[in-house]
Amino acid sequence: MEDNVEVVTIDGKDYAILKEINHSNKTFLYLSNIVDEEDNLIRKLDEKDNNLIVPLESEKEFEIACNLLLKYIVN
Amino acid sequence: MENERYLNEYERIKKRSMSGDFVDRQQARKERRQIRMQKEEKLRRIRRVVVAASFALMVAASPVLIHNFVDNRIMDSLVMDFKTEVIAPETHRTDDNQHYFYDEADIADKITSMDDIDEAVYLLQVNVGEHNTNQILEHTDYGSFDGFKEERGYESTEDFMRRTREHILDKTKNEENHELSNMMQESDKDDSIENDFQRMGEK
Repeated sequence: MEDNVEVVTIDGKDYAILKEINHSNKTFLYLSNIVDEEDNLIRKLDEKDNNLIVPLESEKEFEIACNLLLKYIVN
Repeated sequence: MENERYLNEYERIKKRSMSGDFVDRQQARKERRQIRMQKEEKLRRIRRVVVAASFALMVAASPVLIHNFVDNRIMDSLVMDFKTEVIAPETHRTDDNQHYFYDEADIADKITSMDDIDEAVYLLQVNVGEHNTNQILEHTDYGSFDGFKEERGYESTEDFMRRTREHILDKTKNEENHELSNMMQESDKDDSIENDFQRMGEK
């Protein structure tokens, strides 16, 4: 079974958006390079402009994003 | 080895997540950029991120964990180097090829010529065990492992191993900091050279 997966270009590379998770007015995006499975990253939607996909601001934010993904998997 | 792979993946994802371009999603959606992906592949890719996420949580929950992990990697590297350079060349097979033995005198010569005898005996002990360490130290002025510990001020083997490990780790980290400091000083020198050229130009 196949899914349609949205693709965005970051730093010249194409990434598929695998998952989005909303939490406390923030939306985290979990992305994977479509030609390199080892190249993964997490981004978020800018809080002021939801059309903008931006890097995470801190290690703390990264930990929160990881925590959310784990909760999603467990549940 | 597995932990190192996870750590590398975790560090890579973290670094990539906190840097790079902003992306206008609305523009990307206008271009209707999509691909078809098998559910299994999607799950597999998410799992990779989950592994890194798990490691992230372990690190967040216990900074001691990552600290110990780095220390263990340093010690593993030193033990392996010692084995390659000191022990392996002095390890020989018996004539029947059923056993091996150490050239104890040659190993003793090597360790007594090293700058840091405590470090050398620590690495020896980790590699060949207490009995063989004792046999090898019989070929030195210490006479035995007990003689070495007494002369160097250690109460027991446990005391020696614990204190020497701390000493080795401190020394290794200080050497790395010193190297970094030298690199930064070199970079400062370059700046002053640039200033000299600038001043010459102004004349």
